[in-house]
Amino acid sequence: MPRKVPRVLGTFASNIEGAADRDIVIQVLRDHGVSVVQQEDQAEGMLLISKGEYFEARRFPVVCRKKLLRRLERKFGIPLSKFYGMIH
Amino acid sequence: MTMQSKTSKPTKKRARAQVTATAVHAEHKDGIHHLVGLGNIRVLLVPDGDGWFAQGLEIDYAAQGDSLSSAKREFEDGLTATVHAHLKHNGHIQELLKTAPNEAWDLASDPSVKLKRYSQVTQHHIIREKSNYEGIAYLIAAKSTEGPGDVCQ
Repeated sequence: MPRKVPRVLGTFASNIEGAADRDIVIQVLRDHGVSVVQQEDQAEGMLLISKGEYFEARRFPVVCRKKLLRRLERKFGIPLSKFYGMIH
Repeated sequence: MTMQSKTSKPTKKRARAQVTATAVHAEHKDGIHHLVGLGNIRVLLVPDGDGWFAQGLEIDYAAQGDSLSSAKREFEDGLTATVHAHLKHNGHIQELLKTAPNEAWDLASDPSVKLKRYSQVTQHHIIREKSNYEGIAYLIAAKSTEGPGDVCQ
């Protein structure tokens, strides 16, 4: 019978390459005061991400890799670790 | 004389170095129709896990893709949508014209790195958001009435 991996370890294993799920990324952005909304006049899935005076539009991939997360960290001042800290 | 002829004939390398990034924004007098041209923007394509990451150099925009073509497409679509958002909220694209961080420029100096030049011209139909209160005309009275009761009498 295979040994069940504890939930916490499972989370770490999925983030070993520095990737995070789209839903988690969007939730973390919103938790840090970033507005993430569907952009008007644009195709479905094109989101407008804004905080203060800064904004940009993008489609979020299902899995966001480290380079994209680093960019979000730089642009919106969210520590990278926050994207990996959420446990379901 | 020999020197003159050498300087007047540009080499291939020199001609390539003269290519510069440009950004043009034209607005119709109706304020609704905009034309934005971005020319010769250099985009750094970096392997990123199983996919690719495209980072603009002259414009600090970036996108992730599962393949090289997907990263390019996400960059183009996202940049176009970002230009649209800037026009809608600011009426111009000046805030967008910021260069990439130093780490991207350092990476770009590596000769093995893939760099693509990218140009686009996009047309935008923008109806700018206006405050709900813009239609109110405020009238300033020369003097106030004695009291609220005066109005009713």
